[in-house]
Amino acid sequence: MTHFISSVEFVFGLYCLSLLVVYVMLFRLSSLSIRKNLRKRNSRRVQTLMESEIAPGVSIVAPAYNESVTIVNNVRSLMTLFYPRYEVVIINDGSKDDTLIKLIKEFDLVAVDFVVDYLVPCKEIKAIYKSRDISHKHLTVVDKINGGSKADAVNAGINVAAFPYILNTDVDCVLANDTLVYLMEAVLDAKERVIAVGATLRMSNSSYVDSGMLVEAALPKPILARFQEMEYIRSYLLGKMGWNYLNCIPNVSGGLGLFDKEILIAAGGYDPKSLGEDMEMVTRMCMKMCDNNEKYEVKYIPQTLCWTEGPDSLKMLTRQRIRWARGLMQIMRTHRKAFFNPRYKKFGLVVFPYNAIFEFFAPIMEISGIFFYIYLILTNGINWHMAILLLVFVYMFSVFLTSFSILLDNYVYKYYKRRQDIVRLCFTAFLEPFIYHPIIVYSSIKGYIQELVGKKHTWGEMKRKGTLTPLPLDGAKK
Amino acid sequence: MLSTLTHIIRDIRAFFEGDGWPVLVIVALVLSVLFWTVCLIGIAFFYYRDYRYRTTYFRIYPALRDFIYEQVLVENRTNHFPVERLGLDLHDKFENKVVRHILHEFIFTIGGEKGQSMRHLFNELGFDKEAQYEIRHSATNMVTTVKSLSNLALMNVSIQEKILDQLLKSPQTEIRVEASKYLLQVEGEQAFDRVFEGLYGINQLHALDIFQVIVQTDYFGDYPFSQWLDVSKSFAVNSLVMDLMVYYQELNEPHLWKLITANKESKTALKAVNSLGKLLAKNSEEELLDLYKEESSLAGKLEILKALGRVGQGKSIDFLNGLFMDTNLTLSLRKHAYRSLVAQKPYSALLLRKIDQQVDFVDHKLIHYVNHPMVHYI
Amino acid sequence: MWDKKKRILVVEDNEILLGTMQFVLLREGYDLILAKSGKEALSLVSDESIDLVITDLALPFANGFEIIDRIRKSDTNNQVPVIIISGYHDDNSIVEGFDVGANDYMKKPISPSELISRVRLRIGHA
Repeated sequence: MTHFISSVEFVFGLYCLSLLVVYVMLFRLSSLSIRKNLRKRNSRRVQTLMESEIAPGVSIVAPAYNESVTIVNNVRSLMTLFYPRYEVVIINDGSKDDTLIKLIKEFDLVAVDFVVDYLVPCKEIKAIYKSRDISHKHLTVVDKINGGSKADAVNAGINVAAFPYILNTDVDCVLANDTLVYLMEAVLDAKERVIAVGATLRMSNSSYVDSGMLVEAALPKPILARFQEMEYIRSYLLGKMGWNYLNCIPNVSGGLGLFDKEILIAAGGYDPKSLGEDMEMVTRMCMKMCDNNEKYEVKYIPQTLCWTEGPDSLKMLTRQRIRWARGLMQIMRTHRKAFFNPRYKKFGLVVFPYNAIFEFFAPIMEISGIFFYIYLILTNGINWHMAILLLVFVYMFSVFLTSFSILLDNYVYKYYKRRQDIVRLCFTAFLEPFIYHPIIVYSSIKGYIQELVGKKHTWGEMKRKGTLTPLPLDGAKK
Repeated sequence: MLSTLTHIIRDIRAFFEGDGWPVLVIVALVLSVLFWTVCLIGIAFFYYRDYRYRTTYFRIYPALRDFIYEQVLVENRTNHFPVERLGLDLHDKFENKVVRHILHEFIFTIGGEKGQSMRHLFNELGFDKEAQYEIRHSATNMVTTVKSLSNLALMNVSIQEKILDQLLKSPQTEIRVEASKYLLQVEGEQAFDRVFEGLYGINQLHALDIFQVIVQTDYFGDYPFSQWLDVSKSFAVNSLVMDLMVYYQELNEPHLWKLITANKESKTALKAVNSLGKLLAKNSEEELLDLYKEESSLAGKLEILKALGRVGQGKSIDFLNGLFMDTNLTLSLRKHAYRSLVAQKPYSALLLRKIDQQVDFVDHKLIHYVNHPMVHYI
Repeated sequence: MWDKKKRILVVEDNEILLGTMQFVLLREGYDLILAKSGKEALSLVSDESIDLVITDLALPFANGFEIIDRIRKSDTNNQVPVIIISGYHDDNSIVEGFDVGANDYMKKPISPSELISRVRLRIGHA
């Protein structure tokens, strides 16, 4: 029995030590990656690509489902990004409200005769609308039958899109004006073919916005949204930027991702059945490139280019995280052939195993660890001195990693104008292990169980609160 | 191997079960606290740095702006600016950065003669000496060298030939590219040979930068860019040359066909086909038709169809008609075949009328879609 | 009898360019209305006393094309001359600008003296 206990201890110890090594490695690599990015960024003018007539074209694909409250402003903000060659494809995914009517009225849209090549599968497209105004000629609105998922809607957009690059975003996301410039620079500034590029996302809850444009970023007031902001900063600046250095990015978020359309289509488009469709898509794209024996890069840039409204209620948050956990489990199951498979090179030998061991298994290890801990307490098997020391170390280490991510974020750009926002964010790191982290672990385990028993997932509705706060404007200056 | 591994595992376990373990954890804990503190100091430092920059900016901007308005716009001064009136301390890092930023913005905003005067002002504030010093002493620091070269190009100041040569041969691509951009801005057409001779190892972003610099100069001649097309060079280099050929409307069909035939499946070949179209290479219509039959990729076929639309003189209309009427063919090929037929009016006018009478309801929709004035991208 | 000063609506989100144009045009004696975004401009285009519009193309909320289109469709100002100032130098943008109803197109960086000449060409002296 003792031998068994010490073996279990050893497994946990080895797991934690490996995770620690990974985080230390990411700590180093993320700073190198961000420094490299900023050195290049600071030595060039954004206007060079912004004004170039040979800039590659981009199709922005944004699905909309029951977005009546904010659709007009959000589409306007997508239509006024600073880039010389792009189109905006809005997919009205069978909205039950007046989303489509508002769009038709605002942009003077008319239905045009159309023929669609269903290059990737999606539900039937009922109509395509174009604007009679020459100033809105870059807008296309696709009206389709609801396919039950965002993936289906994005596929419809891919089928209609005309340019070689697709920017996948949510219609309620607020994008920075120079989003397309930054992302396309990353595509062009590469040795190999870049199949996907992502950038940092943040919470737009409590930020100041005017007509779909972000005026001033602010730290979210709701505590759950604040935790998410902190988590996103850590995940992007520390995690993804670290992996970016090794060209081992595991995922490009569906909230903001630029993709090579040809590879998207060759990989079969988004999977409507997947609950983690963004990560699943990138997985398939990478595997496709490896199958074709073609070199590729998946890149990340550290700048925040997208603000999105995060769930600020416990119910919405757990629903989201359950979905993500189920999506991750689906990916592990569907693409298990990639696990330590040298055929898939870095993806198979590093990215997939890392996700399997340290992302997928992490909540399971944590819960098992807690039970094991309780068992040891009951059987007087704890060395309390060491246990407390270790606990304090792990706690401080996690606070340090979060603070380091915040430091990296400020190194990139000072997004919060108010000092109290950054102070509050730094102190949120102390609360996370006690409040937020258990919610995430609980949601993940629940997600895995639901996936194992085959429970049907209901998407539910993200109720738009319009939590974006308008600035008190002083009107047009005369 | 297995016994070595077992030994290692046993040693690790022994260490953790011994005295080493608590010491290690304490050290790790202390380091974590230390690093956390450093992070907080770092965050405070970045905030302080931003605060200093902003306060310096708000102090200097009105004075510098009014100075520029007065001296450049009102008094039409072109040089010998009374810069001492500004009372600037350019040795201060923040003032230096703010002044550079503001002047850059003005220089990229104001054109014509006043723009030239702005550049002289930039020069007279001492930035040329600073930039010259930096390129001599920091030639391996990419950011400093690139910024200095960019400033020297703005001011139209010459660099010692020896130093320029070193920069053009730098192992860092960004420095080589910036040195090329400098040469192009300062010497214009005279620099073309030198720049293109030494162009290697660049990516598409560098190519785009060089393209922008050339087209934004006053150059408008008949320099033979096509001489730099080379099958052994990278896509980025060939792509740059082809973009310039298209911009300056320099048609050289043999060179472009050489690129296409060297590797028909490559990106370079696709770009060359695209360039033939944009340059209205009328003599290439039949060769493009032959190429289509050999081409296997969809992207390649689409490029050829688009090019036929641009260059077509009627020789390909039957072929295009055949593609359009083939209902088993991929829709995107049929769309572009039809569009290219439309683009070849008047040669295809009769044929288009015939198609209109023959096709069924579904194909009528396709025709309307392609012809629709509000549909700009298919 | 006083002649009314000619009034120009300037739409530009770049502070430095806006400030420079403001300085140059005010010196010439024109009356100015400034707008820093497409939204501000759209709310001003039906103002009766505009004699000329100078607009950038890349603007937040509504781009220059939409502003010009709205002007051309308005009841009161549909004949007002429009000058585009833009960093987009490609043929498509220029053609689109004229298609939507602009009268002139200036590429950035802007020469102040050339701007004044073109303004005078359209509406004469202040």
